Amino acid sequence: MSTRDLLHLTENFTNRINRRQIIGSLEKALEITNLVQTIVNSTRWEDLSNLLYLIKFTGQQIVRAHPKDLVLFNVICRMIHLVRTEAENAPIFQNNSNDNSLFTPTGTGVSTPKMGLGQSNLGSSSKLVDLLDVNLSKKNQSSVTFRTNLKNCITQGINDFIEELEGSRANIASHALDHVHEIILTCGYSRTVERFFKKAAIKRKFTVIIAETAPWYSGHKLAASLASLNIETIIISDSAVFAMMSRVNKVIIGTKIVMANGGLIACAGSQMIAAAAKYHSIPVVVCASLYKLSPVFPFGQDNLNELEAPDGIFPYKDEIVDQIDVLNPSTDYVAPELIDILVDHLGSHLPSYLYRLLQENYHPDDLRALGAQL
Amino acid sequence: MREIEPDQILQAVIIAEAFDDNFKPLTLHTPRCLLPLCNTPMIEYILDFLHVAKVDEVFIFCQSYPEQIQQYLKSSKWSRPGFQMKININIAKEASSIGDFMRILDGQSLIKSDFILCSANFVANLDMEDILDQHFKRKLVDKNEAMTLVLKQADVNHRLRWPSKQQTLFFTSPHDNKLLHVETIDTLDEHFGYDFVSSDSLFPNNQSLLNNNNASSDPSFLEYTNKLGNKQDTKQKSKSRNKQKKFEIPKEIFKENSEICANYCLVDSYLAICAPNVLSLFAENFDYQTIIEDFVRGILTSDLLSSTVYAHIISNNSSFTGKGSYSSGILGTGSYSTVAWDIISRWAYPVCPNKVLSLPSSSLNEVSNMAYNYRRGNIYVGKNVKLARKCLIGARSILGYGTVVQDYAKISDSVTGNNCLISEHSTIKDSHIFNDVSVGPNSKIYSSIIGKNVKILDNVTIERGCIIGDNVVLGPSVTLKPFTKIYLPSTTSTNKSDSGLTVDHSLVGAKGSGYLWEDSVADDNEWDTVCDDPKYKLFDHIGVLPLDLAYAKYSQQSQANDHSLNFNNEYDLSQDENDRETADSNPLNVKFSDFAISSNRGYFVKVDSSESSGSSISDSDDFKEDFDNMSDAEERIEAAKHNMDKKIQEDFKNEVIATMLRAIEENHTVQTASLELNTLRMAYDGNLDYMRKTVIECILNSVKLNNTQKPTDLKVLQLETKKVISKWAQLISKNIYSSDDYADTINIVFNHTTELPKTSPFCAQLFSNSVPSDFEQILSKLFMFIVRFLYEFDVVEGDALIDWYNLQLENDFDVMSPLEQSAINGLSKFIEWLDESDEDESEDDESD
Repeated sequence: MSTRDLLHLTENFTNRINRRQIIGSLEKALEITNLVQTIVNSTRWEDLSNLLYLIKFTGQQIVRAHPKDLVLFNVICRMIHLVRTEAENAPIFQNNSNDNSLFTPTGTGVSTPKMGLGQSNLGSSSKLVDLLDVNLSKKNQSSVTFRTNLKNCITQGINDFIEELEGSRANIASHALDHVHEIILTCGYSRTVERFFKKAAIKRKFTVIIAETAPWYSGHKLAASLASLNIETIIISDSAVFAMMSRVNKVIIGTKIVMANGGLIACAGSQMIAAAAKYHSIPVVVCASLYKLSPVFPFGQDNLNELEAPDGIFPYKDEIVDQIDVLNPSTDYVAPELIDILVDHLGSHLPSYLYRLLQENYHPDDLRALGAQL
Repeated sequence: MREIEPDQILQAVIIAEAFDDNFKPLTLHTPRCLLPLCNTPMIEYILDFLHVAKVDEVFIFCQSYPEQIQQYLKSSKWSRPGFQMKININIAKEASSIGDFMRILDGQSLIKSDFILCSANFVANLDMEDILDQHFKRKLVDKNEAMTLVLKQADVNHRLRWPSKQQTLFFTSPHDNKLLHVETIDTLDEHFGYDFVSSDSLFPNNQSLLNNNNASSDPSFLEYTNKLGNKQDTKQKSKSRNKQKKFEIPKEIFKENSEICANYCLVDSYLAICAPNVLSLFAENFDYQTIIEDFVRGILTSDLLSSTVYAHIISNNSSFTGKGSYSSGILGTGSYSTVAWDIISRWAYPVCPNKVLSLPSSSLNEVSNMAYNYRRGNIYVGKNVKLARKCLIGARSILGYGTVVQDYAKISDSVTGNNCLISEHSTIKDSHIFNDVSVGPNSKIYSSIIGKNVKILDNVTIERGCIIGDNVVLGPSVTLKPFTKIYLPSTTSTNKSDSGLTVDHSLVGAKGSGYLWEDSVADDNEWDTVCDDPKYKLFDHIGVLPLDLAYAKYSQQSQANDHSLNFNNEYDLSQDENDRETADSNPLNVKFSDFAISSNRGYFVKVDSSESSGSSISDSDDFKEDFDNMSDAEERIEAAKHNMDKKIQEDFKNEVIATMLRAIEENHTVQTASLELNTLRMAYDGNLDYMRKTVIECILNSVKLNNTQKPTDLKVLQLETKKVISKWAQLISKNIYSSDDYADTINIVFNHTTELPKTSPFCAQLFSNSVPSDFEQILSKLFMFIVRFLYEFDVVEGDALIDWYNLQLENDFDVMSPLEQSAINGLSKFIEWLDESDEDESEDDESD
């Protein structure tokens, strides 16, 4: 496959997102993984630096087309990191153990805050490439076997990652019994949370109070789905959240993105629920797959939020539209202090533990290479 | 999902030509579809929309500057290999209307299945898939479906309506949204123009349901009375009665439909789905020019064509499901700024400035210039923008890539292009500035569009509604009057001496270069006949306030006085406010969206939109000052309007009296007189009640009382009265339109008779000479005769007479003068007789 074909492939991908043919963060994550899989399998790359360049190039195209879609950004970053670590762990690199300290998953070289900011005073990507080039030049004679070897390792790694993605909802749901008790409050419609409740409902009886999440009313959709499984479901208006909170045992919500500091970008209304829960000392549990964990810190909050068309709140046909401003933010930023537990496919974490997960899954140089907008 | 075979492709036709000069002189060097809207060429919006709608093939029809469009598309992402949407450009130099394009398209036989037809200047976030889906579903039921018009809801005073010269009333079938009839109303019409009180009460919910039962008595002629207007108070009812508007609806549609919806709340969104046979219909009917006025009307009224047209009504409910509900065409600079405002305030989401519409070229290192940083208050700041510490950026602004804003500059409600320079102490409000413009210190720009590469030097003030063409230099120290257009011909075509133009330095400043653009300059365009009427110049123009439209309307009414719409002078009413206010604010130039007409009270309400937006930076003090000045100006305008109104009615009255006298003297036939009167009424847009009063008075005055010396001459009086009334009865009944008018007629007669002693010198003499009781008797007899003959010649109905009589007795009989009392008493016998005959009739009915 030529570079031109790769460009078409990338463009096709971004256009399909534009045309709303790929909806949902898990679908996007899977599509991007498949795209990287294709690059590994069918482009003509010579060595690791070449392959990484191709993936980064593709990633840049995608991030530039959808600068606000952090899921795409996360997955691309993770893929680059994954390809690199897989390559390092490949048998061919076993001899150069002294160089690996920089890149190993548990490496001590990079501290999280710097990583998040995309500043690293240690290795830069150019240095990395240089190092690899030196390594690879030594192995000229066996380059063909080396390439197949490396490719197999990377493919194996990507397959594992796809498995992780596909199994993430089921794995998160397997922790449901630890968290779901008596009266739960939630908002919006998250398929992860839906599955979480459904799993718990097999063994336990509980009540779910759902804030309707105006003006999209995604809460109605969740209610319909839960009620069909005979889970006791109550829909309340968003404004009633505070009044209901004193009766609630636990708040369980989904999220769009988990920021590097543990804060959330979740559907509008989440901040109010989390604040009300804090006031009543109710634990807030967030269900999020690992691909939603973003290495980006929430600095430009205005930039992170997306204001959607306000006609769900106020009809455009009304003649006073030219005298008023109507705002319809689609997301809330929920501060990490308001969140008690994050549940991912491995288990439950405190928000303060996220730095560890970040370190394992991302490399700071990739953020800069992809030109993080935030 | 879609009910078409998989091998069929979805095609779309873009009409990239508008056949008017609304954007001149900006479109002198650039086609309209490549003008930037929120710093993105307009054609990008429509291509993006069609791309999202999963269109496979697009045909762009253009006429002017096809090379530029071709070149643009070549360099854009749309022509990259592997892009799923194929774009073809068709050049039709000879076309002069949309109809011509359609006929050319028909000749080329490129269209294979149902296609999307839209304008190139169009912004929407609609879910096209849903609309297509419904279109094809309907097609399964109704094989004759030729077109689905996409219509958008907008209330009576909505800004989407302001640009249109005509408002359309759509009659649909409520079950399947089949279009049955369309009626267009001129916006400048008294009933629907500035004063919307009447239309409000005509359509209380903007939609009336007409039932077959109601209509059965006289289905061809319907009156929209206040059947549904329970909410309105009676005062408004009586007001609306005077302004009742009638439409004729073909009888046939009542035969076929039990219910019909009359929708006044819909506006065309310049998007339609057409069946392929639409093209052949256009080819067969070579006089069709436009879609709604010619094509839809033609299909609906024709008996031969069995095609049907449906409406797809976009309601805002669709947003609950995440589907967009915004769509708007850009016809002129007015809708241009409205649509830009909607994009900035995110009504068109996901079409918004910081959505990257055009992908940058594929080089790895190039930074995307299109990305904006969003700030609170809908402020979008591009890359590499340099904002000085003390500049003020107000709500709803876009600052393009590389723009520099210096200290104390103020920008609000505006768009600046890429690489602009806004110098110190300059103010930009509600304006659109294209790329590479520099604005000098202390300059002010209000509600205007500035073309690319324009240089505005120091101390230049550009008042609202100005359009400055590309490359013009203005200044220093000049002020442009509202609605000035300046242009500079392209340097390659002619040098200045050849074109015979000299730079008017009093207009553009000492160092300026540019010429005043007169709309007549565009005479070389053969299609320039669409809006040659000066009153339409105001429509869809940037910077137009509702006040201007009010003027347009009233100047139309007084067109006899001054045909040209001299809005500059008229607007100078408030020009002196201009002088005394501070340099930073100007009541004329506040964005028109800051004002609205309150439909019930008819005056302007000011809402400080900057404050309500919670914007980070706002100059609310200035706005308050604006408001004070505004209300002052508004009073003057009210007064001017009142005076004008009064004068017109005075003229009208005199004319009617003269006509009537002539008719009586020269003994015209009733037909001739009525024709003359009607012509007069149309010319002056006269009031019906007023006219009736004058006519009746004139007729009664012609009754000769001279022979009536004594009460004994009553016979003569009776004969005389009969003669006059038998001749003119028909004319009076022609002036009676509803049952309320009967009472009015009797009132006029009554007042006329009782006031005879005051008005007629002969009567006054008689009154002084004779015994009062005798005189009263004469007058009461006279009144009785008149009323009787009016009844006999079928001018007034018996029931109305009885009602009137009873009303007089009940209400204010006691407070009347003896003369009036005797007049009413004189009627009693006649009324009794009427009562009896009525009963007889009803008894007869029962016995039948």
